[in-house]
Amino acid sequence: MTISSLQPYPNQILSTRLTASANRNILICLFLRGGADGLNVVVPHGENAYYNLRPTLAIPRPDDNRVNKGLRTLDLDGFFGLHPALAPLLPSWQGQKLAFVQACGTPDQSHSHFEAMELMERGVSDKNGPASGWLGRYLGLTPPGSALRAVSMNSRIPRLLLGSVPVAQVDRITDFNSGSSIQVREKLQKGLGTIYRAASPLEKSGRESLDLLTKIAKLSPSSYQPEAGVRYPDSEIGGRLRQVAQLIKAEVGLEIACIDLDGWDTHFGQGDNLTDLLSKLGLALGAFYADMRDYMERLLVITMTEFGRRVQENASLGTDHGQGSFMMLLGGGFKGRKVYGRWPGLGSQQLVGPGDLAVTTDYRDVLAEVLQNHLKLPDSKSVFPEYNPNPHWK
Amino acid sequence: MAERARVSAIGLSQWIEEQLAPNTLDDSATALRVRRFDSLIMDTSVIFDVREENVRRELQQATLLRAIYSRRQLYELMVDFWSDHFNIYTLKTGCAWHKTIDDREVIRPHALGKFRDLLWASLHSPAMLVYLDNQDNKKNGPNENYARELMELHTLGVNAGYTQQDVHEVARCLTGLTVSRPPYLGKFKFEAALHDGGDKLVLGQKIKGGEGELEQLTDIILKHPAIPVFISRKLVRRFVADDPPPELVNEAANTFRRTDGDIKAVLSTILHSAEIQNPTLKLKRPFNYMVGALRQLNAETDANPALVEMLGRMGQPLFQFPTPDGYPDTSSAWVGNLITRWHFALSLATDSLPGTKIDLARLTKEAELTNNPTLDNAISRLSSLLLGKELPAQDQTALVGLWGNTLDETGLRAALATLLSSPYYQWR
Repeated sequence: MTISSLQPYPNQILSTRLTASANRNILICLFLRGGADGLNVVVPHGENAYYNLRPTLAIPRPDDNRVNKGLRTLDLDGFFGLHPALAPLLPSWQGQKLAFVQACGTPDQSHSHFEAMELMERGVSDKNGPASGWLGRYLGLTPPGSALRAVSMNSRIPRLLLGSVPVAQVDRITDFNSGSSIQVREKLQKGLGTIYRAASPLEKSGRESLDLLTKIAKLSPSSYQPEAGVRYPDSEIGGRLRQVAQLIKAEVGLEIACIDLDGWDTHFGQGDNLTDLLSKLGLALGAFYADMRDYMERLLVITMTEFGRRVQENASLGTDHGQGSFMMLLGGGFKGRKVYGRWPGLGSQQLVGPGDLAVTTDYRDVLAEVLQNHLKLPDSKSVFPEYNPNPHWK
Repeated sequence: MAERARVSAIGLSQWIEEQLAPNTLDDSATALRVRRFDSLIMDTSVIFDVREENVRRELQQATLLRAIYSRRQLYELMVDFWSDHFNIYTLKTGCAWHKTIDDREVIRPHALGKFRDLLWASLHSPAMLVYLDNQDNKKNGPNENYARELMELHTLGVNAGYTQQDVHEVARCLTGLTVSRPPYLGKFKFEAALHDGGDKLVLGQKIKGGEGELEQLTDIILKHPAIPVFISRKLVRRFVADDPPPELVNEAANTFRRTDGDIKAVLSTILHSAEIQNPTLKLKRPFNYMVGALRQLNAETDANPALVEMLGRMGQPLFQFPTPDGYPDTSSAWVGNLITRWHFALSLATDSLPGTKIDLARLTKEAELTNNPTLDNAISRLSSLLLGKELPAQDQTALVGLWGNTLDETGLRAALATLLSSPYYQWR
């Protein structure tokens, strides 16, 4: 790593002007931390080896009459099917707004969360290359926009957003409005309005912060009304997506929102854990899809995860770190109702490393297309300087 | 506050001398405050049994408490400086435990000592070896990560004239320096089987492979003319100005050369210089901002996790800067971080932070507000306490116009929060 590749630490809230950018497309990136088991999400129910290698954890075939219907795979295309907990996503699948990429991932073979996540968030193949995140670089390469242009919905800024452009952390802004005396806070806010007035960068940044506080205060979560009949679940991801929906509809210039979801490292007792995680995700995304129908053409939700899991289940009713996993795409601007990616198979000759699903689509092949088609970046090379995306991943 | 009184009592010059000899200052009260953090004194045989997040948090809490309460203020500033210079990212696998040991055995013993000893200790620090992947630096598969940073960030500075070939040769010298059971457990270990024992050529000088190689390497690097200037410039940037005045850098570098890298002597040159009397404005880093506010207000705090968390939100979660260059030291990097600073100021002024309390009664008394309880008077008094000068008259008039001149507790707390949040207080 050289100094020139380092960006200033961007844990800063503002430096751009608070203007809504005119209807730019929006990307919502969900990072499933821990290595999500793509094989039990987009289930290859047409593959016998899947059932042989996972005698207890495999999701039953769609026509497996021995088990309750609610526990069976929901068929998608005759070969792949969805985990039943993702049933709330079926309307978007039928509406051709949902697609998956199976056997997708990074070339990293470390099986280390830290390394794989770091490489994936930086969008690089090894320790060399830029230290910033791939979305951070995208932000730096495109015209400035609103102060709420890029937000992290979590309490930290994920590495993929690090770069030269400041990223807002929504809870840090809303936190300001809670937990201390209202009278003192109001006095403070008014007082700062009068003393941050000079032209210096610091005072300019101060005025923008004040603007942002005012703007966010009007967007209290309790005041948000989703579309009729839509109810976001009470889960953390439900709350985050509800907040994203509110920001989008308020037209504050949001372009990128990142949400981290923890808990996907299912070494033990995977069955119930994964069902719970997927059911939360499915319900929240289902509500988001119903709530945001009018915005779908401008929207794209993607999921990422640092790696998939070993094909063969382990002795603790779980799965260990593997390689190939999946990506989900929900939104407009692409052909949905399809599982993309070349299926490598699960035969003993087809597995790689210690028994992992091979990666046939590099995650950057998908991202390059997201950057160019959805976010209108002329050339993804500027974001992935050392990677030549394969345009034929579909 | 206490140190300010001490400066008035003995004079600045004498105070600096006192600070440069930290061991002569009795700091047992601070030691008592951090005694509850068991992991600080644990060695490798037991520390790995402590949960990772606890070991990390205890070091963060202790660092805050020492910065707030220690009488050895200059020493703590230097610990902060070297913690950036020899940065360790404690979220990297294994580094949280190793960092506690690195803080205790590398940074603190040598913060005001000889640069050579500090560097030597760091070269043997499991934290650094694991952080910069030296356990993967092997005879048959070199990893240049540490070698590069050793020259670029720790000693010579980028563009000092070394080449990629030098990096490669230094990496060969460093092969075999590892940890007995990487990355989680263990202590420093030299693994002869992984070491490349051949001769090397570093910066034009030959190193004979075998015993004493690391000493030879250290000698060659330390003789390089770039070091005194590189270290001095960083110190002047930290203590004096974002754009270090070249004359002062030269003077400090001369001291560095003359004293064979005596950090105390170099600092003495900087602290007694004419330039430091007229420092240019420099934005406080979040740690500096938080600690300064707590000190100036004589706050009582146990460094509750909420305070640690707040510092993280302000952009400087201690020991969590991912890249090896450490938290930035120039103002421009910190300009955009205001809402979280204001949130801290508001929380502190309203006693809303668990485990942290300001003494409003004492403040009222010290600021002589009982006799003249007007907002105007409160702002004047608090400004001279916090800013060392008056608030611009325009601001003071505006605030009084906005809030009214009658002073009650809400007004006093709001005045405090506003001064701590003001643009003026962000600069040091």
